[in-house]
Amino acid sequence: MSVLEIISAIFLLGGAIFCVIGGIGVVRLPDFYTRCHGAGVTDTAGAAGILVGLMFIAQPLVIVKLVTILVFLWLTSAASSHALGKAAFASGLRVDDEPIDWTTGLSAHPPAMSDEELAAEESE
Amino acid sequence: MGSIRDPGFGAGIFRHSAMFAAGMVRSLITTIVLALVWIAWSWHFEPLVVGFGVVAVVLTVALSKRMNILDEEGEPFEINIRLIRYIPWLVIEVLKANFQVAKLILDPEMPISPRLLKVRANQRTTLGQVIHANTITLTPGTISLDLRDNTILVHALSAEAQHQDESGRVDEMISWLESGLPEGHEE
Repeated sequence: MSVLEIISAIFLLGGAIFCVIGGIGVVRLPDFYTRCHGAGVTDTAGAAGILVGLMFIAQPLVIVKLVTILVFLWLTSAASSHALGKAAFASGLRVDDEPIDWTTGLSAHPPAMSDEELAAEESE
Repeated sequence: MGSIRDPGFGAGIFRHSAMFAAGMVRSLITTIVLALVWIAWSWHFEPLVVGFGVVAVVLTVALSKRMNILDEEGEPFEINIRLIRYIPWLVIEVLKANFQVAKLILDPEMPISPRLLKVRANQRTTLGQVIHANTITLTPGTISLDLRDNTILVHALSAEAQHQDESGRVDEMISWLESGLPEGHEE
């Protein structure tokens, strides 16, 4: 293995690890907005690691194309994350700024009204 | 909004010709970039393929010119030179934020504290404010949800991410980046 191949392998491994971390984040994080942050890790560091890793073993002309792909990925992933967040916010998805019990995905505080009270209110 | 100062007749002519010159520079830069992209993508130098390229580039520039999208927002060549400092700064910020978020995700207790905050965007042009909001979104741990009245509504994953945006370092950097743009003449 040449030096370039070893550097490439290190970057590819780093990118792959960040992709997996992003995936774990999407599963573990409790609500919609925080999951967007998890997906952001895959979009930025994961994609950058893999593409930079590929640049070290590519032909010069291919490097130009890989750089372009990276630029467009970073440009569009920012725009799409924003569109996703804004759509959720505009359609009224609540932002929890209180502590969240991540094992259940529910608010750590008890709800203001119990289920029976809510049912009674709806039937009136 | 635009400038309320009346620069006078002569200055008006000067401003007009300066804008015309800037428009020519924009067309020229777009032509060069499109030609380079065509060559890099095809890497064929037969007369037929190069001829197709010339036709495509000229058509694209002519149509963009006609649609008036080659303005200071579509092709802000004035800030190109400043990108040389902005892009490495952005990459380092994004990597730092990635390590922060990765640490939060992998922590068994996951000490996140999601919150909404308002970040002031002190950029004078719309383009600058959009770059600011996109920079915030690109750094993991913060997403911009809305931009109005010079204020960006940000969803942050943790207190660390909040301090990073509220420190004003991002705002300063983008203000410096957009200071190369000419005085805006938007409505």
